[in-house]
Amino acid sequence: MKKWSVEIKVLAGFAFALATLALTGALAYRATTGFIETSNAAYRSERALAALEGILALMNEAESRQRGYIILGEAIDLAGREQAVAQIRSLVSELRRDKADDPLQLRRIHELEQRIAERMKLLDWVLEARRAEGYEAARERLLTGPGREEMRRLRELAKLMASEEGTRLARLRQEAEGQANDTLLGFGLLLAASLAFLSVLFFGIRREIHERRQKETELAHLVHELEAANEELKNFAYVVSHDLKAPLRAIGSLADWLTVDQADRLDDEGKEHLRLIVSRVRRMDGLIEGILDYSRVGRIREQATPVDLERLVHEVIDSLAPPAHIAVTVQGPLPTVVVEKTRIRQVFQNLISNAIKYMDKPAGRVAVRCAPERDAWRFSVTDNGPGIEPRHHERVFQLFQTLAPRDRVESTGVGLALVKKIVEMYGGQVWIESTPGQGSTFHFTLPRTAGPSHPGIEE
Amino acid sequence: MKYASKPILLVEDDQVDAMTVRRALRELHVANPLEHVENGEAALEALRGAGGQRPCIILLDLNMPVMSGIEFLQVVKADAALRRIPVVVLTTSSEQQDKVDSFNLGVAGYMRKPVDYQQFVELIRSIDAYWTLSELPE
Repeated sequence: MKKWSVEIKVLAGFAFALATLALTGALAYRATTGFIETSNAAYRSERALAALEGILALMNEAESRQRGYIILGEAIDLAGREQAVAQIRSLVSELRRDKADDPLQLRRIHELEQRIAERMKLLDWVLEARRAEGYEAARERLLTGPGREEMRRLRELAKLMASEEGTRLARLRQEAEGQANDTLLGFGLLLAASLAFLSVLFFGIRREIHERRQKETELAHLVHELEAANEELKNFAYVVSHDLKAPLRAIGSLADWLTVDQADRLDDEGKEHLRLIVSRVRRMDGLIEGILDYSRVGRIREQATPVDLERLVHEVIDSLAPPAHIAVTVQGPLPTVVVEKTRIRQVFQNLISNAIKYMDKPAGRVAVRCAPERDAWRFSVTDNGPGIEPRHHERVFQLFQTLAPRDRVESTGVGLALVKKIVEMYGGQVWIESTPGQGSTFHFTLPRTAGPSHPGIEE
Repeated sequence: MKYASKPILLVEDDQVDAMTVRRALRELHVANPLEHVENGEAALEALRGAGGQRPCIILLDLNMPVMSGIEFLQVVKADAALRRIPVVVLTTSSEQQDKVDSFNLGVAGYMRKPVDYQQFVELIRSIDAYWTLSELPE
């Protein structure tokens, strides 16, 4: 039970309920048809009993009517006798119909018919004497004939049949009772089994739901903790960067003043050391600025506005003031997208300035392009610079990772990490295509539906 | 500065930053006396204290203990007697929120402290040049 999932359990519960319902239906159907059959059989038996009784009574009636006619000679008695005989016939055929499924009784009915016919023949024989020869002759035949004997045999046969039918009726009733008891027992067992199975399922599901609720609560708690931790981390990056800057500035200023104030006391080596201090202070300042920029992405949201990238990219190129030997061009039109302007500017600024900064060819070319895709814009910045080996393609997007020694190319190692973070914040992707020695292309996508999910600070 | 006799009020908790401002002013031969306090509360005391002369300009750091620059601005700009003194924010912060808050509270300028001392001197030179030209209400 434990291994079943809640879905399976619910399904099993439904399947079981359906099966129980079907079984109950089948049982009820069988019980009902059985009951109807038994009832019909019992009804037919009862009718047969009544018919037998009726036949005997009518036989007596016919006989006494005939006797009345013999004594009094009234035609009305003769008519009564004929009526009784006709009724006997119809009762017998009814009896035959009712007992059509009982061969033993059918044989008996046949015998009964013969006896009735025999008896009728006798009655007719007496009646004939009365009509032909008068009362005395009929009386004579009545007294000497085997009429009484026949009637006794007929009665006995009818009694035998009635007792058999009675036994059969009792047996039918017993059968019906047995069937009803079986059905009740079946229902009872089914009910008990259903209750047991459904209880097990119910408790299983309840336990599972309880466990799930517990897990949900734990998860919510965890999410809350994570949010708190994330918030703290964001604040941490900001505060640390800020608080690092003040002492750094102090070191820079003090080194500067020493250089100026103590100029005549310092030898060249001392001056060189102080110069190095100042240059390292600048580098560290750049790193802290980078951390601040990096931590600001996603933490501080500004209003997303439609930004004309055509204009923005040209502004970026102007602000970077590329040297004369590097041509930076925009090839093809650039779209207007709804984004945070500061962020998209950072993306283009970093990609283009990298292309300029690392250019190693006498005639540098940097091209910005845009290709529309199905539900995104794909931008690219292509240069003919030194290129990047494939094994570094992942590394360059990591924070503080640079490929050139910092003393040769002043770089914080934040730019591309920042680009990646911004692009991914908008649900896009960034990647490199490069042939070492011939140049690189930085691609990034921007979904057309891009936009920060939280309203930010208005500028 | 236009009125060389009026003091400059520097609200700054970092000692070396204060030295930097003092040195830059000296280097630029700015004659105004420099009054230095370490937080917003001390600045309010100095401004409201008897006898002291109104400064011609306030150079204000934002991130300070006891009373921050923004809190100081909220008090000063609500005070009819003090609200017209120009305040130039001189801070490390480049946070958008700090800029928004400062300008909402009517600062006359917002300068980020450069790490490089020479740039710092240039910055102070610009402030001095501007407030030498700019008219101020009496």
